[in-house]
Order: sequence, then C-alpha cells, then structure tokens
Amino acid sequence: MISTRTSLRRMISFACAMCIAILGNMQMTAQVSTDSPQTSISPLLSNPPDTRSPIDLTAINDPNTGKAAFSFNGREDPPVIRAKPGEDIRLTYVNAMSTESHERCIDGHA
Amino acid sequence: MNMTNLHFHGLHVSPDAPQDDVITMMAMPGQSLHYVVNIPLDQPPGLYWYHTHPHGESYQQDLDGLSGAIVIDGIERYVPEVQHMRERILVLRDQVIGKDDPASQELMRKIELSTRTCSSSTEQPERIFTVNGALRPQIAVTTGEQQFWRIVNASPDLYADLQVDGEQLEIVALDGMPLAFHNPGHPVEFATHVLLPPAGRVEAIITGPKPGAQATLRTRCFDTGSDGDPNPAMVLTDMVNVLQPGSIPPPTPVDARLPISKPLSPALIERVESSSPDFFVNFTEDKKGFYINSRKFRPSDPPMTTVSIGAFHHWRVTNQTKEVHPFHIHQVHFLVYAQNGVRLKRPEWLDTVNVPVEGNVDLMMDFTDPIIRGMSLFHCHLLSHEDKGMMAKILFK
Repeated sequence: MISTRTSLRRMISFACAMCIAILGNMQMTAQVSTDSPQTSISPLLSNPPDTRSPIDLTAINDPNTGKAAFSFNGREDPPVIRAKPGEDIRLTYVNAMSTESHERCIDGHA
Repeated sequence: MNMTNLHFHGLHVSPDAPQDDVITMMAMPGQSLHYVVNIPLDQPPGLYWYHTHPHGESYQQDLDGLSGAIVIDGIERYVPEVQHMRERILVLRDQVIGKDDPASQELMRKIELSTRTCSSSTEQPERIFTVNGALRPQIAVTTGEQQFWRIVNASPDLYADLQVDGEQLEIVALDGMPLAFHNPGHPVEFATHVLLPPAGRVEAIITGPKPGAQATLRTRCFDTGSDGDPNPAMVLTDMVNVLQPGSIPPPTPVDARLPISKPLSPALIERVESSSPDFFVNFTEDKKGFYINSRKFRPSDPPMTTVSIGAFHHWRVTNQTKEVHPFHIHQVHFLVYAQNGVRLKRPEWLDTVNVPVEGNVDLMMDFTDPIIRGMSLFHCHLLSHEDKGMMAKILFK
C-alpha cells in the first residue's frame, strides 16, 4: 500500500502496535490459566449477544487501551442485531468517545 | 476527532436520515444519533453488518472493532434444513501485531501464521484475524454434525480466503443474499474455498470431521499485488469434537406472504450484459492519495453520477493500480458476471466485490428499488483508501 504517513507517525504506530501486542499477550496468558487442560489453551467460541429493536449502542474508548469500542449492555461485546423483513430497527447511538485521539493514550503520553 | 456514525452494510434501505445516512448524520463526542431503519419486506434474508463510516476515521474505528453482525430473519425459507442446525456467527476482526517482539512471535505461532508469502509484497504482516474477539477459538462440532456458519469479514483491509480442512463449504448465501433468491432451483453451491474481501459475508453448512481428524477453518494466503499489504495464510478456528448442551432454538417465524425470490429473465440479463457500460469506475492511486475517476472524495462533493430509479445498469469497475481493491456500493446488490472481460462460469450477486490488480469487473447494478432514493456512496472497502479519497457520491432519483 502506498503510505502517505510521515516517519513520526510510523514510529507512533509502531509503539501502538507493540503496546497492543503486549496487551493481547496478557489476555492470552489469562486464558491459559482459566481453561481446563483437556481442551488445550483455546477458549470455545461464543456467539455474540443477540438483540432486537429498540437498541442502545455506545461508542467508548476502552479505559485500558484507549481503543474505540462498542459498549452494549455495559460490555464491550457488539451484539448481533436481528430483524424481520418489514420491521424497523430503532437504534440510539451515543458517541461517548474522548474528544482527544486515542493514539496519544496508547503512546503513553495522554 | 472521534466523530462517528453507523452504516448498515448491504441493507436495501433509504440513504436519507434517519436511516442509512453516513453523509449528514454524524455524532461528535457527547452527541447521539437516532436511527429508524425500515427493513423492506423483500430484503433478502441473511447476514449483513453494521460499522462506523466517518470519512477520514473509518479505518481506525473499524480496526479498533466498531462493527457487528446483522441477521435478517427467514433464510430457512430458502434452505429449510438450516433451521435444525446449530447456528454460529463468526465476526472476523483484526489484532495488531508487532514485528520481532516475542509476544507477537507467540501470537503468530498460535495461529500458525505462514511465513511463506504468495504475493510480491515485501512487507511484514502487521495484523492477524480474531473470531468474535478471540484468537483461534475452538468450535464444538460433533462428528458428522452439520452446523450453519455465518461469517462476516469485518476487517478494514485483510482478505479472508476461507477453507475448511478436508471438506467443501456448502454455500447458502453470499453478502446476505441467499443463492436461491435469484435462482430458486439452485439453493446451494459447493466450493473448496471462498474469498471474502473486507466487508464480504458467506453463510455455509459445515460438517463435523471424522473422529480423530483435525479440522480447522483457515484463510489461505491471498495475493494483494506488489503494492498491496501481505495477507498470509493463518488458522481462524479449530473444530473440536465436543457435544454442546442446549437445544437449537426454532427460527423466528416470518410472514409467509413475503416475497421469496426475484428470478430475472435470461433475456434481461443478456440485454444488460451486451450493452456498453452505463458508467465506469476507475480506481487509481499515487503518493498523495486514492482516487475514483481521478477525483479524491470530499464530503462537500456533488454526486459523481445520478441515476433514475427503475432499471438495471451495466457498470464496469477498473483497477489501474498494482494492488487489489474491493468495490462496494451502499443500498443495493449487483450481479458480478465478468472479470477481465471473461464471463464468469458462476455469476454472483454481491454488495462487495474484489477488483483484480490492473483488471476489471462487469456488474449488473440493481437500481430498480424506489426505496433507495437519495444521496448514497460507492467506494473502495479497504477503509484506509476510502479515508484517503477512494469514494464518490451517487444520487438515486
């Protein structure tokens, strides 16, 4: 891909990537300690929560990573929206993200 | 800036507020949007998805995970056996990895990320797939059990060329549209693998492997071109022979008077196919940005084209770059019937299609539905390209 980013931005992105990778690894370690040995280290797939209209969905910044996330019923688990043909999907979408870019947060200087 | 909104990808709904409007509906931090989206009675039942669509910030928000699945009820009307199968919703998203740090190396090992590349891209992979937020989760499937898997590629720019070890995918729907919707006599199609560009969906019947057999859902390596990003092979999920407790809920009943198919006469298709294109979309890029028909999108732009509702149109989408681009248009599906001038053996109804490197696709656009009137969009669904200008407006009149 042709990149138009400056080298500074690349460095910040790299720092972000490192940070996310470390966080990802922490989550994986947590799974290792909670899973039973018979089913190896991976969790069983869970379907996302189901919902139907009316729906409340909020965009937040995750308090730990600063990354954007959908919050639904108090959890960062975007629901499967189900609807019948002929129905209305009524959805209130709240932007509760920070006014500042989260990249500063992941970079450790926010 | 963290502005945001929602796009209801693939739904045949109005592009005007308060429905699928990503042009004028925008929420800054602290603001809210109130959507009322009228799903039409003839919306093809299947898998769609929602994601944010603020021009300039789409890529980062989608990469962070601002996406989810939408299921329109009633697919069992086309393939009745799926109502007795366990349904799995698989949302593919990304996890960012570093290059040489031990944590990233461990993640790459876990998903068996292939170091062999299939493309001329020389860059290192920067992201890997998660399934419903987990890295290589396991799916409980007993031997011989059939399950109905509904998979959406919600990545901003990774392609998923999906295959299941040792079996064929029995495809029921692509991009939310049951195969039987336009071809009532042909409700399923078997394939060894299926390419989902970013935003693509597949719904397929999967059979549990024989005892002792290892079976995984994986993506094959995909060649994105010499200017493209690496898109290596990796494992997405393992099937494990575990009996899952709990009964399968019956499907939500739908109105049996609903239209169940929209067969098109071969004469109509032939007439559109043999006509010269009504509109050309040319994807180009340079170091300053990404373009459609030499124009970089700005939110204040007038429509690049205006269409009177009521007919099928022939569009040709051409890629003049050295990387692939997925073409997407809001509000409608289209029939992909030729690639690089060669007629496809199996034309497909999609809402997002890959356009090959320095190649083109011929599409029959379904602009017949009066419900879609208003200002809409078409764009490259590599979302960083969309953010950097590879998008244009279309006015449905």
